[in-house]
Amino acid sequence: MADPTTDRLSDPFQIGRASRYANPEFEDQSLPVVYGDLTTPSRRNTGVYALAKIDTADGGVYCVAAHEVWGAVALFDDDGRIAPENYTLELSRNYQGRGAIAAAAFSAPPKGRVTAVCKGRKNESGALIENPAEVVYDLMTSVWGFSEQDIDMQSLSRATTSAKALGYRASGIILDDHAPADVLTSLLGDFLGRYEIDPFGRLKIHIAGEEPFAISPQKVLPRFGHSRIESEMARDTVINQVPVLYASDYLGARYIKHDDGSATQNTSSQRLYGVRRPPRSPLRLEWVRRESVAATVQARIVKRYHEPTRMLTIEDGSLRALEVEPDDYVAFSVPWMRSKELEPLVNQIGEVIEVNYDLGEQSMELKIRDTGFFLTSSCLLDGSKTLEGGWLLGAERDAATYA
Amino acid sequence: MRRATHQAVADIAGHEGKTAFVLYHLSTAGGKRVFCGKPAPDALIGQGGRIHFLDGSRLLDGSLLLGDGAEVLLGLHDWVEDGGRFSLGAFQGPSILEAYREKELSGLTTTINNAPDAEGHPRMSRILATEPLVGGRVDVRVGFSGQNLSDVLSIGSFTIRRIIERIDSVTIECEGN
Repeated sequence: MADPTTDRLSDPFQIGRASRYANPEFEDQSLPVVYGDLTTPSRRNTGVYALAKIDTADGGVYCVAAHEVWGAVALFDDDGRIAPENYTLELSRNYQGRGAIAAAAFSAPPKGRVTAVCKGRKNESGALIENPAEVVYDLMTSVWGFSEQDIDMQSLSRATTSAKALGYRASGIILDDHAPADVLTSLLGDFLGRYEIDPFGRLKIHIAGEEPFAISPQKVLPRFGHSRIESEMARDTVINQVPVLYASDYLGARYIKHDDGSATQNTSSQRLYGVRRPPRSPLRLEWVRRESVAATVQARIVKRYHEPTRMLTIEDGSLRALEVEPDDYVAFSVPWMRSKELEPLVNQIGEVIEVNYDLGEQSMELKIRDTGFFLTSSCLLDGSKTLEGGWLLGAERDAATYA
Repeated sequence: MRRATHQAVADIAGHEGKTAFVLYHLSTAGGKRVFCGKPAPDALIGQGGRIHFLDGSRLLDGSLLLGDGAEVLLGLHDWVEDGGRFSLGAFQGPSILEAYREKELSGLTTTINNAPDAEGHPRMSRILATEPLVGGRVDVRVGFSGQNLSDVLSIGSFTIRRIIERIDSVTIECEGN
């Protein structure tokens, strides 16, 4: 059980600032928290973020990151890349007894603003933290001050696996005071992920994985005979091209890379529905820096939304689906609706997008995305069926009533 | 899917009428109060620790540590007028993509009846005067009659942000964690 006295995700988190040190140049300068691979310079001979000068003595000491880093550090000043012999770099230094940071000490003052590229935080085994779910875990437990008890480790493990399978790698810097909830939304949102707080106050994260051809629904919903059920398919749900901006330039508050999404567009969908881009296009992927990761995100969005999504809203005047949560796959039956094959929509598989509780009326409303898949019946090849073409083995809709 | 006992799953599946008990556990530094809309069976109340009913089924021979892991229960009140509503996975349409890119933590607002107690003083006001509820935590649980504590399903957790006190009712506004 999470401790109710701990900080909450919506509370602002104060980032470390140069004022914690004895002799900084500017006390308000923030100490960056760095994740992933940020070794691509934003412009020629410029780093991607500015360093705080935490000690003005001699040539100056600059904070590369507010923590130990994996390495691959290169520093730049107004004259371009600074020769490594001009500074002493320590990837982990307990500076002035205020905790381990990555710091660069100069023998002679560099010219103008010092910027950097590097690879960020590493995990306990010394590997670079890049998996978005791993970044969430590290932020929660090492930066924001939560404990493992505040995280649903099962969902974290599933999200880690999904992200790994899809090749997701997160890279980004936190430079400002923020509410953890905002960072989680931004970080997970870039990878089609999201989070919830479970009833025990624990963080539960989800990264939408590939939708396999064999989905196992976690529950068969009861038949909502007297419930209000409606289905909505809107052209606005179609996305067949995803322009993106990625690789954030923290110095110029802009993005270095742009892709118009033409490589991952779905032309069939565009012929039917026109070019449909996401709301607030182009998508700004703050935590993506690799072209391959951006392309994966674009492709997955198009794959998921290139057809109008059938969204079902089920208002049930009872609590018969009480244990259902967002992101669950469930089997549902609305026999008066029809599938593409004009079969009654029985044992259809949907993904729960939203659950609304009315505790006063003791009723629930479910918003379910129709995946297009359904429970199939299996038959024994025991001689009872003739294979003369009358059966779709493995593809017959299971019309049995389970709940 | 929430973790639920077989009994809870069976009760949920068979639930047709409005027989569920929605319990609001208010936890503050002073202890815990449980609010509900109608009198709830004792077996559904509690959170940690084990409950032993002294009904002859237990021998007080030293094998039990009564109250082990128990919490301070300050009161059980069936004063809830409006249990409120909340959402999980809330997103702003029209595109489902917004479910991933825009996050809204759902809140919960409940209304508690503030009728006079035996001494003629509004009963909820008496509690508010001595217990700081703001900043406390509200856990929403649902149970069914005939169940025991382990079958009660937790469905939401909130933090109390604002209390509005009126002579006839008290409104408790909570935000998602």
